[in-house]
Amino acid sequence: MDEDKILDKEITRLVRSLEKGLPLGLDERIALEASSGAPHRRPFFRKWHLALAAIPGGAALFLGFFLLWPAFRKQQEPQITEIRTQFELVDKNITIIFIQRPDFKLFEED
Amino acid sequence: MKIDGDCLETSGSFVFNAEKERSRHRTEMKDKEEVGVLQAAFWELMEPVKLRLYNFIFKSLNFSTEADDVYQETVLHAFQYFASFRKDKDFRAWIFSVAHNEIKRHFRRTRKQTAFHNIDTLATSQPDGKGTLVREVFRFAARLRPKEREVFFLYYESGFSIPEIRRITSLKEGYVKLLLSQARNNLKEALGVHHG
Repeated sequence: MDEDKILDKEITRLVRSLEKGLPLGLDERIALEASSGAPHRRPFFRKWHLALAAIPGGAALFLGFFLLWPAFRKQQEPQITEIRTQFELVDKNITIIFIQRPDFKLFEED
Repeated sequence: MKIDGDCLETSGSFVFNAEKERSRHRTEMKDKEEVGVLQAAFWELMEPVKLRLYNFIFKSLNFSTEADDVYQETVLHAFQYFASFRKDKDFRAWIFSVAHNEIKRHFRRTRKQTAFHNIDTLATSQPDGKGTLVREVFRFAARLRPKEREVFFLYYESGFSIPEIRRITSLKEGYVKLLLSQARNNLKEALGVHHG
């Protein structure tokens, strides 16, 4: 612990041995700029107004996203829902139609 | 009678308006006085910390010439929001936390493209021949990440305690301790070599 303190003192001394003074005219430049605008009296309200202004922007983005969503959405591949097989016995004037659907149960007794 | 009534009414309204005007003028004057007092208090509090603040920014930015701009932004922002500064708090810690935010913003904006000073040309005029050691310390600091370098200089340059650094940087106290311990271990070796 003592060793740390000694080392800290040494590092502090070395770090502070290199010190730069404020550049000439910098203070005056800052004071001049600061005097052109008075300090904000109610920064909270300023932030609150900014947050308020962001609400319509956010709402517009939200709406835009939902309006444009179908255009960019990946189209679903068509699904086969029904297979239709048709036979026509022309000479007997008979038409046989087999309809196969996903709910068609094979090898199942009633 | 009607004319008298009108006159009385007009005169009453005039008196009322004049009173309102005087009151508005008084409020304006009071506001101006308050702002004046606030500004004077700010510059008064700034005076003893400005050199340390400038050097902290200058060193945290690795002696970049952009330190002047960051310092200016820091002071102007602090001045702008001085009204939000609570008088029971430590002004020095408050303004350094403003500087911390400005440094962070600077690195985010420039994407670490800051033109750094060549460390080897530093501290050549050290009177007690400690130039090499000074260079060694700053070379080590230059290798750190910006927020680590800030912690390093807040501790060794600005003299803040670990809890104060935690408040300024919003870093965890354990992390601050770890960074300082790593710095010590690294520099112990480097400085030890030169001492030996």
